[in-house]
Amino acid sequence: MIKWNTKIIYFACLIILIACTKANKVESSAISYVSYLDTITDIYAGKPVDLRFSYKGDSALHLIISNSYVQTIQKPLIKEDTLIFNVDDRIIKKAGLCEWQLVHNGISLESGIINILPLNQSHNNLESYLGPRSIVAGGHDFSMLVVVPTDIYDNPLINGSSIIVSEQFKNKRNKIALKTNDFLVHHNIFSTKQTGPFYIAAATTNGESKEMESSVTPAIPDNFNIYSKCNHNYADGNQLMEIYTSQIKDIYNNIISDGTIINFTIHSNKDQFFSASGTTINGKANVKFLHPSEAQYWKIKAYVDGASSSNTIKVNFKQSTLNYQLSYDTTQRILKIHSILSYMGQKLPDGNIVECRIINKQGNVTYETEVDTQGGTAFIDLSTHFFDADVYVAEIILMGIKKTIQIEIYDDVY
Amino acid sequence: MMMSINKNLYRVLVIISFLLVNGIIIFGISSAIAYMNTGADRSKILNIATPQQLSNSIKINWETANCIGRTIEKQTILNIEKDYLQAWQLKHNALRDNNLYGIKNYYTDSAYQNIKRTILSNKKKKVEVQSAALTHNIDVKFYSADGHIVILEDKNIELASHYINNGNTIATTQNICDYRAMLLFEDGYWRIRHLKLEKINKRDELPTLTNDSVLLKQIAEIKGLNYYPQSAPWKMFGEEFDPKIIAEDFALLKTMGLNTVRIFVQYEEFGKENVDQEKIKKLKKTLTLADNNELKVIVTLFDFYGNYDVKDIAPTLKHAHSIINSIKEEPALFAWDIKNEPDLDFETRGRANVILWLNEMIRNMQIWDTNHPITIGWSNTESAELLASHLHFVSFHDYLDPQTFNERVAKLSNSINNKAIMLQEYGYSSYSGIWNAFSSSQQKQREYYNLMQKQIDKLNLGFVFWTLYDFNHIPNSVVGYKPWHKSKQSSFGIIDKNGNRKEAFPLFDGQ
Repeated sequence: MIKWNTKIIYFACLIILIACTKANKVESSAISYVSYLDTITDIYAGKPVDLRFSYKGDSALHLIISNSYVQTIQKPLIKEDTLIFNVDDRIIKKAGLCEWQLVHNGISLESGIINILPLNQSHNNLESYLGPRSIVAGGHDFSMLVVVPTDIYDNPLINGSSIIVSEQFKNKRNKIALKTNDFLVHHNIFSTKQTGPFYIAAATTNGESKEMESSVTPAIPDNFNIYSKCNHNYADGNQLMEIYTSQIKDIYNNIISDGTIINFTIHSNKDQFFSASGTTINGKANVKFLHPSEAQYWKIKAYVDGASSSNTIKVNFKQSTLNYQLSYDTTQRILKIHSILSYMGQKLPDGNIVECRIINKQGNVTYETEVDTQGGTAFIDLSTHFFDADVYVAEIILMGIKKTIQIEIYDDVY
Repeated sequence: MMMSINKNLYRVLVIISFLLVNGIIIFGISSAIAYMNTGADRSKILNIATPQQLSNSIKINWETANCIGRTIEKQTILNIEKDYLQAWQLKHNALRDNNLYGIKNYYTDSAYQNIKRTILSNKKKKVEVQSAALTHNIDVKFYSADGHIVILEDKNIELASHYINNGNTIATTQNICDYRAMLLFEDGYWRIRHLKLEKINKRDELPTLTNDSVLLKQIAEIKGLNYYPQSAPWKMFGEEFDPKIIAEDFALLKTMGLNTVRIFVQYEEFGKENVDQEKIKKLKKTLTLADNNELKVIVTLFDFYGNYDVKDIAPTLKHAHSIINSIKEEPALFAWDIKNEPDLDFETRGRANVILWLNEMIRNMQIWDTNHPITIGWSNTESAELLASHLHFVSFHDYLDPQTFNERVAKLSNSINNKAIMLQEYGYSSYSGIWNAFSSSQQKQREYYNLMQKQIDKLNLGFVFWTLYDFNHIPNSVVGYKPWHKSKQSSFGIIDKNGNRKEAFPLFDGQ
């Protein structure tokens, strides 16, 4: 008995499981006849389009439409036995092909392609691009003008639309007629030999671009000359020597751009190198150097790095100080440099450097110092430094003249 | 007595409701805290997050010889390619989801308007359009001196679209289009400024294939089975891949007198669009082993695949292309089976999607391999009529009543103009247990096969039965998680789980 019960329950479960299957939905509808009433092939953008079909039967039809950008589905307006699809104005405003298909239950009944043309005759917008905006004189470099004319619906005009490009440089004007291709016209404006801004504009019969400007900048500088100017040629370590350039120009005789950096380099006969840089104004640059304090011979040259260089000029500086005296005060440990006579017999101007080295018997430098001259003399105070009591040699260099003096240092009595 | 039971019942109820209320309160507070703690993503401050991973499966050819203006640099081409494909993909996403996400980055303001307006109206009308572009052939026409403007001519874009209204597919189109586009370089993006559709051609219909007498004979001679090793059903090329076991099995098939095996290439396991070369090696090895044992192989692609989205066409094509190119020279290869039982996906994935996908596969596979026939393993004779004229031969599966098998085949044969037919899967489960009320047995399996083989002989049909072994473990992805399906599926073999030959075995021995 129990066995039977379980079997019945078991089969009941099976039956329920089997019964829980999904029934298929059946759709049926019929369309007997559809014919396309108008023949629309080419239209201008923005013109309203009605696609009309005469039909009999089921009106559950859809129109699928695609254009250059998007795809959509439209439903018809039904007037008696005519289906009217008023094509979405968003679709018909975009130039390019527009494909439509009339569909019923997944089957395409009619289809067609409308070629939507840009509205050349409307007001045109001229989107224009000019670049690069700064080009080098000489005719090799160029700015490219790109003009994309569009109609009021932002469609690029058809190929072959005319565009007049005008260029104005100084008082010269050029007009060039161009035809669009691939949405645009492009035109290269090559640089002139002269520098200066030039102006460009483009226009169609129905629209005009904004004014654009590009400038021709000087080409790379040509070689140039430098000159020096000194108040005198004594190496007094006091006066300034000015070095200046000629007006630097490119090969087309344009003054190079202001702010060009000129590097001046000096090579002395003592194998020292000095450099300074200046920027040009109106093609000229200058720098100033302090005279050396001993007789020297300078070779000076200037460069525009990587582009051009100047001639080399030579400057000779004569010894300005002829002689001086040294004396040493043993008690106060002060070394005095005095009677410094300059080239006119005058006192040496203040601020010249005196180098002093104290050398012991073994020949080692035990002390080194520098002081400035003042009022034609200089003092070196050795009391501030500790020395073993001994005999030393003091070596003094002033204005390139080296002198020595023997000094004795005693034990400090204090 | 009664009173105390009631009391206890109330107590339990009160305690349970108390716990429940507490639970709900805690859950509520924690969700509120979690919500408060999620803020704006820092990376969103910068406009750097690309909204979509670009698939590398879209074919794109570049031509730069016709470029006017400046000579285009390779790096620029790469940048344009990235942004241009992204623009297309985002537009397709927008039309599908009616959401303008990311469009503004890849279209200039005025071009954006053209898309925006229609998307808004589509959203209102509940229209969605699923599209995908499969190939781009880009000819660079112009590149400006300052490197900020480029004109592209994009020819023969293969565009597939489903138009959907209120969830119903209204139409499916396949076009080949030419576009002309102007792109501007703005803010680090190559943005579409103008786009113009210049040419539309309907995609050619698939070529109709007629019966080939050599093939007809070959198909009729097919005697084989659907093969999985006993230890690794439905994951033959995974970790469990063992050439020794396969070699032994194939040797057994040879001694039984069978001449064909049908094997399965899993889409995901093989690496989707970037096919795993290790898996290819295993597949090649299997084909070599088959050749050693004089077996021909039918390779079924896209096993366990079930998306069919138009967006998925390009990656699946790339997958198929990799597999076909790597094994089409193998001597054991007999035929390509595009997909196992795609008709079962009609309901869940949409018939239009599946058919479009199969169309694309047939079209491309016929180009990639001209030496091997192509078929689709339909799950029944009714579905097998679909696309029949475009396939080299028709394959169907049959698990229905063997008494009426004859009629089903006759009906199919009639409707497909007597095209070569192959019975690609059939069989009978000997499972006998609680889930089928002990209704089957090895005896019944033997009877089924006996009846089927007689009819097959009479019809002169090529056959590939299901299958050699009973399996211990059936993955959920095969027949779902229901135990009555799984246990049935486990016993279709002619050799049982312990390696013993079942009663039906002798029917196939010494063919």
